[in-house]
Amino acid sequence: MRTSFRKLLIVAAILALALAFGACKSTTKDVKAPEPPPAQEVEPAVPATVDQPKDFVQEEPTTEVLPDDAEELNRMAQEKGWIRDAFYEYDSSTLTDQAREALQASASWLKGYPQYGLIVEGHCDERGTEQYNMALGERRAYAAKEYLVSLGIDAARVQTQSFGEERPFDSGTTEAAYAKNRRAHLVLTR
Amino acid sequence: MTNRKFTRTMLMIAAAFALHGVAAAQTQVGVDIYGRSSAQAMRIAVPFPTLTQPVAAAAVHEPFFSPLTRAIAYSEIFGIVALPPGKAPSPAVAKEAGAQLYLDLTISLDGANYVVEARLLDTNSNSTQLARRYRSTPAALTRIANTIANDLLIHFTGKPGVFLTQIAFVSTRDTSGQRIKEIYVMDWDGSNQRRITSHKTLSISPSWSPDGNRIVYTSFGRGSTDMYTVGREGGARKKLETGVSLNSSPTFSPDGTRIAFVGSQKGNTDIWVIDADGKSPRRLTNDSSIESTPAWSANGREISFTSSRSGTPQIYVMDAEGTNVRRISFDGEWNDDAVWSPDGEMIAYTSGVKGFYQIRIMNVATQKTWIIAGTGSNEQPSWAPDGRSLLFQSNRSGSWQIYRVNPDGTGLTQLTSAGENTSPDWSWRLGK
Repeated sequence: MRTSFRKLLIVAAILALALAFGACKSTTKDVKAPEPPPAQEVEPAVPATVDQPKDFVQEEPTTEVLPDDAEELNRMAQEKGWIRDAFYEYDSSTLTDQAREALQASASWLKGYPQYGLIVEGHCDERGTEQYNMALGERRAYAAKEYLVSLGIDAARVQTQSFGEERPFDSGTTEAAYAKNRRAHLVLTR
Repeated sequence: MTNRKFTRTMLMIAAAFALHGVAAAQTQVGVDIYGRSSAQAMRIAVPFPTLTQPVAAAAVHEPFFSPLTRAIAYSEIFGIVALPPGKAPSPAVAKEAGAQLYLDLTISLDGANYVVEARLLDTNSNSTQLARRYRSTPAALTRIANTIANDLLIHFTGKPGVFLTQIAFVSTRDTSGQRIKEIYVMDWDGSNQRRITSHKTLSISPSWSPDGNRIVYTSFGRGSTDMYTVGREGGARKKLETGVSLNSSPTFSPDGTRIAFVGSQKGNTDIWVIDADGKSPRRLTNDSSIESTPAWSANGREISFTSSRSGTPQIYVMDAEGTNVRRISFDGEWNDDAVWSPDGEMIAYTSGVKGFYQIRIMNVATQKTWIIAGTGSNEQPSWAPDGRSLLFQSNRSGSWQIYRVNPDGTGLTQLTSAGENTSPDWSWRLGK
């Protein structure tokens, strides 16, 4: 009794799948197959080392050997865009859309490498006062951590530390330099 | 322990003795709106000391004569009179040059120690106003110079000057590669600069204990930032376990029993306080905005701090228990670094004006403010313990250096030049 009902279910499922597949096929029936590309040799229009678009997350093969040295690991992770820093507006710790994108990319990489911890460093540009910027950097770091946790990263993996305006990435005094210094900087730890 | 060591290494002032009775102070000393003496400056001649063999002029000039004349010039109740060259200095020559007072100094050696005799003469009557004898190791000669200047001030005003106080600050001069900041200490006039920490990371925001024996500061470790206390000449440090993160802007209460600081829980920064021995951390403010940079009022009953609750960083004051919060700064688009004058009547702070920072001073009673104008950015004021001047950091020279200035903008003096130097904190206690 029970087995025959199960069989019936399986038959029904197969029928449903077949129907769905058929329906799907029928909608693509009218579409022409794309023309094969012309067989001529063309010089690539862009250099081979083209920058990845910012929203592109590179999937690394699991065979990739990651350096043991923490500094080397972080340099590689930043360079390849596995983890990406979040940038902020002046005197703000609110995550912009670009900051969220960067943290999303970082979170998806971090999920694949649970062996690493993370320090989120909060940084400020030099235009504010030093003491206040220590507090502002703390909020920036925590805003980034909170978002990473909301994306599924275990809170226990993530430390935060404010650097205020103590460690600028660019010592310039232009808006472009200041913008580089207002960030949550992600540092992998073992 | 620290006290004993300090005394041993720094100075052995033999019991100073008076040769004559101290004449009554002759000058009426008033006080102007900045708390400075408004008396007519007394004209004083300070000739180079008479030296007894084998004391060399070179051994005396920088460690003794320079700091002595710097201190007397700063005091403002004295104006130093230059003596005519080519004439042997004497009270008569000094009187001719317009001096009312003549400081007669002799220096001799007694074994390994210097003996300095200081005699203050009235050029009119040739009478001795004050006479003292001091004895010290060669290393403490500067301390004798500053002690003489202090004794002159006490003689005329009843109060010591700032000449035996110390200034803590942050310097980058030990940087090699990535920027290193360590805590340094110097004498009141910028001399005798020495390092008291060696974390080899970033150590910032020093603040003196009121008794002048300890300094609390913030230091960066790997992944966490903590507060430490250390003796005034360095040595063993003690970490304060606050249970919260950030631990920035620490500052001792006027009675020395507590330390106010900025603590963070889940990214929300508030003003916290912890007992000076590291016990009972507790939160004073409870606001979702940024709170930072606490400072105690002179009597310890109130604490000022910076908050972004209005939308921009502004100065607020609360009772020391955390109640009765009110905003006090309304000029400037970014205000921070408030510090109370020793008499409690004024608050100096860093004020953003048209993209630059200036030192602004507020009369607490009237809430009226004025700016000590200067080029570049000018930040992190710290009052002299006598309230007559302030320290601050400025990048006007192209690098961050520490300057001293009077509240009316006069008397600007640069105190540092090696590396970049910031976050000055002037010790509290006079005559120590």
